Amino acid sequence: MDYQGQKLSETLFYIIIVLFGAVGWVYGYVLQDFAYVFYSWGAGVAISVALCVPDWPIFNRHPVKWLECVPDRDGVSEAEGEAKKTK
Amino acid sequence: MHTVWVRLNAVVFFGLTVLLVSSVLAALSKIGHASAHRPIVHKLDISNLKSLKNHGGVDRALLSFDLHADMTPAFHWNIKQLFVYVVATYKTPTNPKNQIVLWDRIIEATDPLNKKILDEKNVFVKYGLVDQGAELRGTEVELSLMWDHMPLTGVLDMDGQEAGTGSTFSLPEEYQ
Repeated sequence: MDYQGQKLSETLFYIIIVLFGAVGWVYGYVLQDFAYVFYSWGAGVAISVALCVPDWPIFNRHPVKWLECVPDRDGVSEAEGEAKKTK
Repeated sequence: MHTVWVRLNAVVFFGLTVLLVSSVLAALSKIGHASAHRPIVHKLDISNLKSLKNHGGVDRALLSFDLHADMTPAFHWNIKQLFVYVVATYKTPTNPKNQIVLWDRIIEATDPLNKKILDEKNVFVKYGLVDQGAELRGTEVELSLMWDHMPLTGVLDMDGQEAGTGSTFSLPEEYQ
């Protein structure tokens, strides 16, 4: 998962869990039954696990751009040098 | 957040933190409920004294009582169960205050409404009225209902009928 994907994943589950928890809490308060809070919370965590834990493609849209190889003192880059050696 | 395990750990433990905060908020939302919504004790009287005897040096009275109490006002979303019990209070020359539990019952929040309203006649005591000594003859005994609020989140809260408001009866002067 790239860095921006990680950030997105974290933001998503923060929002999902707090939202499901809060809505469940208000509903439970009105009906005076904590079971509603618990089930709503459980649903929020389950959805977050499914959405934010696996390495989905949406979390890999900004892959890290690695730099070009740096040539060593002989003026030949290590990768080029290795390729020449094995030939 | 770079491996599945790290992300799974983050989601689960954030979830548990939110659950903890929800539980504490629910408990806080019910501060003051107990004093505003008290169970109503309609009736708690002795119906029959079966015996008053001395066993192994201590007096024991066995009796049955009538009970009619509405416990529903005490329930709210942070109550797991109520532990309700009948107490006999009396005074003796040796001990200025004696309190003996005669009967108890657990009422769970998930129990149906008819279990939350106690309405029974001739309930025999679960535990005998046993004195520390042999001083029950001729004593005046007060019966009162007490209850513990056992929360989902928080501290247990003991409450009951005001002292002196329960019905009283006198034990006979002679063993029987």
